[in-house]
Amino acid sequence: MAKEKVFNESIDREKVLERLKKEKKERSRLIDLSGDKRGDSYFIVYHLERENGEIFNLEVELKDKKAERAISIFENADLYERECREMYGLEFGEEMKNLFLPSGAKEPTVEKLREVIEGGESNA
Amino acid sequence: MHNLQIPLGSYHPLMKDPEHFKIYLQDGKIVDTDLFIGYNHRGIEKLAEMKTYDKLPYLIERICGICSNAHSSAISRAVENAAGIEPNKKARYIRSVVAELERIQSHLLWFGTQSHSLGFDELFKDSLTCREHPLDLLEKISGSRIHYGLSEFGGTKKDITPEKQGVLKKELGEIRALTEAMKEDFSSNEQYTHKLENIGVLSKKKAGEIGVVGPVAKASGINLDMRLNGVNGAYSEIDFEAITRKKGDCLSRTEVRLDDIIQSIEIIEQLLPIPKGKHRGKGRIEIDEPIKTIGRAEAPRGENFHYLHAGKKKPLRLRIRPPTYANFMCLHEMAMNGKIADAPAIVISIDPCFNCTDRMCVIDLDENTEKVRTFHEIVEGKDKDA
Amino acid sequence: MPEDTSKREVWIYHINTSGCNGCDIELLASILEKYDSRPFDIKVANYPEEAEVVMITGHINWNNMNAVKEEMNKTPKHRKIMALGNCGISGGVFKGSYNEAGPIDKLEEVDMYIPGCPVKPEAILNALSELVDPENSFKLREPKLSENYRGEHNHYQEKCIYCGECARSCPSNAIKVDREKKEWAVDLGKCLFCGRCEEVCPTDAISFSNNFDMYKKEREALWSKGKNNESK
Repeated sequence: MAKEKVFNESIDREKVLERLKKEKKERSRLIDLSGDKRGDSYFIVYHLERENGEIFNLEVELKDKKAERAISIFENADLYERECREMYGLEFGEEMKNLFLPSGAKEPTVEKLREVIEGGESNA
Repeated sequence: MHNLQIPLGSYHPLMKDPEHFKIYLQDGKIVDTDLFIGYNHRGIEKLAEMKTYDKLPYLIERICGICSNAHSSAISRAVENAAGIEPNKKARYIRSVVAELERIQSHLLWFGTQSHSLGFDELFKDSLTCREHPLDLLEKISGSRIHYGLSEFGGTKKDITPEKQGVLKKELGEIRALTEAMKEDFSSNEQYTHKLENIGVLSKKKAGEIGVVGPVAKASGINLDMRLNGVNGAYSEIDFEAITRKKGDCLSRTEVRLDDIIQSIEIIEQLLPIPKGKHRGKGRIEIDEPIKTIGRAEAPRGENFHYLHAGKKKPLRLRIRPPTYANFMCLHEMAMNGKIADAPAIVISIDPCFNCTDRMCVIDLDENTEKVRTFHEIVEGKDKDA
Repeated sequence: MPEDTSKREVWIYHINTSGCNGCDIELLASILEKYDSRPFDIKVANYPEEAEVVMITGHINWNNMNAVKEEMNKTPKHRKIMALGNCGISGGVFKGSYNEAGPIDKLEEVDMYIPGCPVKPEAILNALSELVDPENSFKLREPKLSENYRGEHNHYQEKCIYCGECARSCPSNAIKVDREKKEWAVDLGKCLFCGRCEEVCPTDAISFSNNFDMYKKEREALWSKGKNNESK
């Protein structure tokens, strides 16, 4: 039985779109796009599958929580980027409607959810 | 006979707020669509960071009641990759058998709900009754009809003894006979196939760009099936090919799923008899160095992807991308310029997770109205009522 | 089982808040012919005003709390409420999530609790019979359960050493063990019936019985000391 081949790489924000264009040319597929927060730093991770079956996780550290949209390269990045904006407060330079949190939520981050919805307490 | 006004219309508590699928109408045609999918938001990715690895699969398998084994397989693969261990041979066979049984029951449930939504209640009853067979088999193997609790790292908790394999073989014959009868009833029912043919067409090129997975991709001609990459389960030990169609309409998607049921039965028959050996693995596990890895499984709806940034005892970050999430985006492409009466068929044909599909919000830009309607009402043309 | 063929109609209204849908599908399965539900003819209501018994699955979250309250206000005063499944009774394995607004009985008084993860279709029908017609309530025919089936726990007191390993390993913290007082109890409203406690017990003091009829009318009655306390 074969094992999944997984490669991880970090890249600077300025080089991201160029790298994604190169992957698209080599017929890679965007599986997913996730956000992450470690300490005070925010990240976006692009998960790609190459034509030969290798999985490739490309991580970008975002300064000031600002990122660029990848929908011009991979059309299916749309829904995932909306989620990252909503859950982590990342900015993509565009107005995007909420997917998960109620529309009245002033702060679109998951950390502020409880305070936002009429000051209710959690049952944790 | 019971009244079959089935709970599809009552699955969702909200009658007023905008629904999961929003359809914008103008001049009688669909001009735009949108989504809101937050009603079931349980914060699982955050909860996963609080659970140690031995308790994690029990949380993850309760993401979905229909494809629970797909999630549990994916997280087991991810943690096994992080720890550098491989499942033993017998466990791989058992995992594959359980995954295929789950695929059979999920497709039968989907076929039943599609039939009911479009007004064919006989096939709905037949599907759901046939579905009891795989569920009883799963209870015999694992102890529960849903949420099997079989996952262990490097193995599986329960065994499929030779006696159970005999029962399995016999029941598979029954399931096959019932499914073939339903396929025959379906393909000879012109009223039913007419509602699906040439509706919601998704071309192969567009399907590749949007990144759809599972039967939706296969019906548009893309050969994408996680079982064929030789990583999970025991699929590399047997012979089969992904079932594809070329047209990409609702009828193709139905045919792919019905043929998938028969193929799953054949796969299980090829996997029997299960080789002897030990099947247990480890419950508790610790990772030496934090590592980023992934785990994938072929759920009934397509590729289920888990990304795990593994810490020593608990995950540092778990990202779950279920197959329906990847398929949501094709709704826009398929519905544009179509009629509202076709919208329920299109939505159901992508097989979204059951609870979010029974209603949609129809926004009529000409008359400036916004109404929530059930699928039944739309299909029977009652959406124009005040 | 009464031989009378005249059936009593029961109108159920189903509200799904946020769970995995397992209990909803088992509810759907319970009204198939395989589960003979005589003497009831179960009808599913499309509007809350028609509800006689309201079945709620899943737990309330901040997205749907107001909507559920509104729906409940529309139901008639004489309606009974059933909480189906452990998500609604205690939050189940999702307890502690940031989007959890509480179990169902925080919002409305619940008349019948049916524990399980997921609930068994036969349990739903038995509980419905008890709720709707308690004087004539009966148990439906016994299902053929596999030997692996995980129902209510058995706790063998003379084997138990009260080490607390089961309580520590439980994914939803459903077991309470007191070493000094030698007490062991499991909250069936939180239990996932996953089998982890049976696996980790060093003295084989826990096993699972075939009892799936664990429904009760009070929340506190869902605490169980184990069904069969004598050893096998």
